Amino acid sequence: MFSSKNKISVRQLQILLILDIFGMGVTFLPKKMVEFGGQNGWICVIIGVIFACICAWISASLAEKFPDDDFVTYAGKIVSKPIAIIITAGFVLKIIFSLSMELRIFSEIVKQTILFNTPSYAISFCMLIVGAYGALKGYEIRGRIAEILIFVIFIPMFIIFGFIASGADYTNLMPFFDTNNTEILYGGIFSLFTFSGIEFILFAYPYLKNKKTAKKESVKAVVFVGIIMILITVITIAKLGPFDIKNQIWPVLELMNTVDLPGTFLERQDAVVMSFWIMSVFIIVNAGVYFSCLLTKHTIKKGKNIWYVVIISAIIFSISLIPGDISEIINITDKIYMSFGAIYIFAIPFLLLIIAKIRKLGDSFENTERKN
Amino acid sequence: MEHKENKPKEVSENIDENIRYVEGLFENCGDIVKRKFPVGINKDIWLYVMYIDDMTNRAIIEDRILETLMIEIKKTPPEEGEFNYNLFKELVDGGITTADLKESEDLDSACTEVLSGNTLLFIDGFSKCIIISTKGFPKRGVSEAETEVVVQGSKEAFAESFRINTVLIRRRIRDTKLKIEQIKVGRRSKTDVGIVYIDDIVRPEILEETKRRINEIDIDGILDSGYIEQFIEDDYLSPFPQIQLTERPDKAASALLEGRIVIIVDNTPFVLLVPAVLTSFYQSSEDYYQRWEIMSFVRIIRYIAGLLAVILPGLYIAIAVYHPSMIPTRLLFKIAESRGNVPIPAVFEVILMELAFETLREAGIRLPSAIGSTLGIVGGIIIGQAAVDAGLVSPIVVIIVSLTGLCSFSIPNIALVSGFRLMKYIVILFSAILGLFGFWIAMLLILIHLVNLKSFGIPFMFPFTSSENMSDLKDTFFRLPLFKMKKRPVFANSKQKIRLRTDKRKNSVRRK
Repeated sequence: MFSSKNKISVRQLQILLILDIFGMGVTFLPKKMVEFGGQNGWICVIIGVIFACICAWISASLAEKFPDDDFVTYAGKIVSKPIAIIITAGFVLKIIFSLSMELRIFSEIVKQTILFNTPSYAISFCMLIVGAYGALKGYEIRGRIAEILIFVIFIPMFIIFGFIASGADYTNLMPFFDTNNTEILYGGIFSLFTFSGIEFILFAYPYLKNKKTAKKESVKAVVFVGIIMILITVITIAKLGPFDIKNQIWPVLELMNTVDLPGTFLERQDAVVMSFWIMSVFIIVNAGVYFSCLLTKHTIKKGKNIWYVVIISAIIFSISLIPGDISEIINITDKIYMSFGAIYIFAIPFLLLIIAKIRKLGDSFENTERKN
Repeated sequence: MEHKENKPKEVSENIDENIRYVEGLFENCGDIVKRKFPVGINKDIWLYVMYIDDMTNRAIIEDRILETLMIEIKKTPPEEGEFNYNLFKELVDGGITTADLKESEDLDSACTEVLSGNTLLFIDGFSKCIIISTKGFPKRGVSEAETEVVVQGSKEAFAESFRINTVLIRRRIRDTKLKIEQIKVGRRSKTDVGIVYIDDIVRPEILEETKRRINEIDIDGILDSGYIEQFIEDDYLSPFPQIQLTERPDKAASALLEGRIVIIVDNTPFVLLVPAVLTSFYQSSEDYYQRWEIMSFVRIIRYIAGLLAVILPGLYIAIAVYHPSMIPTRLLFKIAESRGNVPIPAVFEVILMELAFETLREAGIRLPSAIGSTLGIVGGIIIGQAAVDAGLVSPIVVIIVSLTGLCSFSIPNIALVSGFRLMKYIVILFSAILGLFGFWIAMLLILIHLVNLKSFGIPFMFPFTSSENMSDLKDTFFRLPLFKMKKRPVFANSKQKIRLRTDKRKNSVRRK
């Protein structure tokens, strides 16, 4: 499972990044952006994407310096082992908390839309079990699953959003640039934190087959998913209007309800759309369980993989039960993203990279290869 | 293993000692024919032959061996001095008029040869014996393929005889690089197993792995290639086949040209092809003999049918029970109307009908073909209609179950269908508990399992996963024109990737 013999290709890394980032942010990004920037919320996303690319570049540059080391090892080399363990522990906590909230949000939405009588904990439990089962199989298998799911998720989504886009009212985006610039900037920074998943680049290098192009390709993946996020935000604002969006908890799902695909056989598309979203959430649950177990195992270095997966899944499940209602979940999620998100997407990789450069630690991949 | 570790018993110079040993081994074997006889003008040299009745070609033994040794050899008078020195050579060269013979000093392996249908010959005074190839047992000839029927293409199928099978392959690939390595597997059955490959196309690591896995089998008897399949496959818990079985020599030859390995097992008309990925099971040899457009269309139909065979009943349950609002109103009324009188819940209704269908399928296989079709009519039409009329099941469920069955029959490989049949019940179970969400959970579980499978190191879902370039996809959902498929698939050695050097477009009318 955590053996670096399980190599993934750069293509698989790209697809995993796209799906991880997309799954985390898509449900509440448009709502948040409208809260910050009103009808110009999409500009916040553009700023967020630019920040996200910079963060991806920083993370990849850092990981590239230690191509064969896992995160705990190279962080230990840079800032001494005890601090590295504290950083890793924070990382694991961040992943566990944000995943628990994602899982809870997911189960609430599924309950609201397709399974009215099923308790939400049963839904999150099933999803967690499948995600954990996938995580147990290792990085390579995650890569292969993503290679298939990207088509299952994105092709129907493109079709549906295509139809929504054609019927949207683009005057909702007007007037341009009348929002406070500071608000837009704050929105941009917040949207960066929804690009959670970028930090997984930090852990991917030892598993890569071809590390040479990984940095460039990771940034490309972030750009790709960024463009999708921008489009979704634009389409959501155009279709529902900024005021409607503010009043809804899950505007993107509401958007799906408004779809009327021409010539389709089915009455309710939202249930179908939900299906593709289930796949998307599976990927992030899978990623969350996998990386939190990976980091814990690399720190503790003992025991069987299955125990890590079982214990961490149990923790995630328990935490997901804590919040009482949806507004509380959203509050907690916001806090996690604003605090932990800021630290782990940008601050920690940036600081580690600077310290590594100052201490002249690590070797760029090209140099390592030249030596070999 | 003890058998292998014992020191082999060597042939003695004393013929009687040898006879005692072999006759001891073959004691109470009524099918053994043996004879000790003297040759030479003075009848002072003793010979001994042994073979198994009816496993050998008697004409060869009597005309080529016994007649020459007993009668013809007398006509060549010995030259004093040289005779004794070259006696063994004289007998071999002048006494046995057949090319296929070998010498052996090991009595145990000589006995194995006798058991394989060869003839053993001892000559007094020499510490080696002669094994003459006289195999000639009753066998079924080459017949038509029954499980992989095609409209266009060769009708030949493999037979039970090992040698016929190697000939069927050799006739299709007349290349000295085509290697047939023979080993015996099974402590008691000593079944001939042939590992067939093309030396420069096969991937050496896969070949080594195959040999290692086969050599590790230590069992008393191998009765069918299915035994070998189960011993060498990667994941025994999976319901999906990771090794392909075929009875078509053209398919085996095409697999060899792709760099795969063919494993022939004596006494069975089914050969094994390794490695095998999901797409291999969707390919039929006919796909390459007919026009590419229609075959691409058929391929897509097969893939959709394969998917429906797994998901249809589960999806019906998920939608009809949990999310009826997804169904268009008029159709919903129809379903509700047809289900109105049915006393059992939809889930049990579907499971009941599926199980009835499975029973029908199982019964159909065991019956002779003439009765089998009658059974289909009785089971399918009469019972189905009666069940609907009686209000036990709704017509829509009959349609769903029959459609699922029909879809499963359109996949060219039975082993893959068997895997799908089991998966179908997992999807039904999850859909029954959690509706559409459960349906997707089941699909994810199946997907994780499938992408996790490997066949001799090659991911089972290749080229949908782990593929580095698009050219691997040319023979999957679509079967592109042959001239577009210039490269061998992933199974082949990377030094021998190019299989086609013709550029069709040069003489295409479209170009002019």
